[in-house]
Amino acid sequence: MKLTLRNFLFAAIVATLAWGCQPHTVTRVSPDQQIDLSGRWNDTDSRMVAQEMISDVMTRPWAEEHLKATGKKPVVIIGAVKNKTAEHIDPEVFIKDMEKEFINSGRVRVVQDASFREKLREERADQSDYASKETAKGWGKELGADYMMFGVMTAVTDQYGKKKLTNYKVNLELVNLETNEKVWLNDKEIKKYINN
Amino acid sequence: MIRSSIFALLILIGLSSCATYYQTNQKFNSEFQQGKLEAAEKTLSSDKKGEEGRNRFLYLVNQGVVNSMMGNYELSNNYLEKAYIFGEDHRKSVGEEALAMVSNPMVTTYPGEDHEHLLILYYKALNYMMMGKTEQALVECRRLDIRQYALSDKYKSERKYRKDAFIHTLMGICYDADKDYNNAFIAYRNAYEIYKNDYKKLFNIDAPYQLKEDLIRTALLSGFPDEADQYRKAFNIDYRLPKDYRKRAGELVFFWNNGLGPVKAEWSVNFTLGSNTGMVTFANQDLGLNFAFPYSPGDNKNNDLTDLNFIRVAFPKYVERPTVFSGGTLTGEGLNLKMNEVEDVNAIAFKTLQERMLLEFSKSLMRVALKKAAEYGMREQNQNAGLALGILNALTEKADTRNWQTLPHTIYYTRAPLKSGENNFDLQLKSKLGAQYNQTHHFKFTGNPGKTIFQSFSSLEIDPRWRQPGY
Repeated sequence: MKLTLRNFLFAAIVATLAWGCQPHTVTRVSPDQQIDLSGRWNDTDSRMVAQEMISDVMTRPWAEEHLKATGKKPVVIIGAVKNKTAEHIDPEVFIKDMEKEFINSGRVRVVQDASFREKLREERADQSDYASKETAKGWGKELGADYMMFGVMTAVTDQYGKKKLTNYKVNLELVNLETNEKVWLNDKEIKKYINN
Repeated sequence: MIRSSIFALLILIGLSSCATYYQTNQKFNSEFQQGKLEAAEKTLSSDKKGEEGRNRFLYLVNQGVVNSMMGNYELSNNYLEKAYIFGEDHRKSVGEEALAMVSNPMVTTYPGEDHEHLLILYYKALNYMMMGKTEQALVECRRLDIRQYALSDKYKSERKYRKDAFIHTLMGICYDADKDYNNAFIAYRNAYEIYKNDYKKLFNIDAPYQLKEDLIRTALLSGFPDEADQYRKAFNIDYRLPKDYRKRAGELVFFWNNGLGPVKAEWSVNFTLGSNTGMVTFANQDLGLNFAFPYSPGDNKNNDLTDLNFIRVAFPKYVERPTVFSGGTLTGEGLNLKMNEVEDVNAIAFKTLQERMLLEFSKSLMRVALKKAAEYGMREQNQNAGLALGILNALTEKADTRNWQTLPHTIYYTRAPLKSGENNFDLQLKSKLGAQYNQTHHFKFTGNPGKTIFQSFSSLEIDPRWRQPGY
């Protein structure tokens, strides 16, 4: 075909239109499937941290030692996991996974954190005014925690041109609330190399 | 020769009458600028195409702004939510794009500029904060975060507007009000980094003082004393957290939207050339240029009016609407707080268009080339019809002059502690045009322990010497 101005323009316009008009599609995928798009922290990272931490904390001797010493299952509260990265990461995703694993193991009891305890107390106060005496829940019967879990998330990024390296680190530690003794700690690192 | 020159002149005059988007909405613009919000809302609502037309994004955001200023926060957010969804789902239409190639880009659905899509969520978050709905405001913050990432992924160059410092500041303010100091700290820190690395170079804006203080405060409240120290030294600010900070009475976050952002107009290059005139005329209204110079058609012996060629290429440009006020102060309850400049919407608009000007050039030139190809095709069949198509092509040539024109020129903010009960503040606005333009507005706020309340005030005044672009 002879390359005329008109043919060229036609081809250019078709190319422009095709480039600007990609169809919009939606596909359902398995929640376990690992899909990395931007290179930022995502659901797969949360899951990997939770799995690593849970498998470690449940195999260490602190819970058995507590049971032997007191005859009772340890009571744990998961406190704040502070985020020092540059991204808004919701640590609740893996906090909930850890709570679930603690409770389902049957070896550890878990109590609510401070903000939820306030809500429960509001409810109890409400019950003392409006619920029948037989069903209203009394004060001073809250289960006190023996251990508290703290954590911190950090990220170090190194960038040169289109290449970016981010190293996420999640540190978690379990502390005896009475003695301040650290009974367990672990960290998980996730390193990502992104080439734009 | 004389006849054809007059004809060419008439065509050029005819081309001058192309109305911009601003001019076609003159009634609404005039009412809005005068602060006649109810009338402006009525005019806007009378637009029959409204939510359905190709300018639906602008209809929705204008309704959002007008209703927010009228205190109809729910309704405003309904409109803004539709504008947000539009931004998420909009895809270019093949038909519209093809039509734009043979006429002008005004026939396409207006997609919205990058910064406009971010500022939808500013108004939404603010509306929710004004209603005391912090959780909903935080949803908007998370959306802002996602849009921020999309923007920084879209453009790789550090010299481009790809990160918005104000949006991070706003996110920090919302998390701060929710007492999520950790997330507030992250947002403030990100905002500070953008001011330091990007905004200083691109827009000559430094990080606001208020942001620096908020960054230190939230570092302390998050339990990061080392970071707080590091920023104290970097900013040379000796901020200490009041001992009773968590228990003391509330705070006020005051936003001031100063003036109105730029409007889009067009500039064009017109050529008239023809063997019979022996001249080429080059005209550009924007620069006030009109040159005619001799043109030798070579061995073309025709000496006919139909040999005349009209070529017009139009490009968009922003026109600033200069502000009346150069700064503001919030005074009262023993405080004298300078309003901190946090976002220069005007500068961002200019920057975004400048960044994609090469693309605009290529699109406009491609469009004109296609029109010319069609014209020459027609001339082969019929010279007169070809000439007519050439004139029609020149007449239909237009740049896309649509943009969100109810946005402010510049956004300012400050934070003030409130005592329990009634608090009285004055917003004092200082004009650069002389003391007679200065204004004072009085506000009353009720302070509640631990609560952050929000107030937004918009000054719609434009420098009276400003004249709308007349093309």
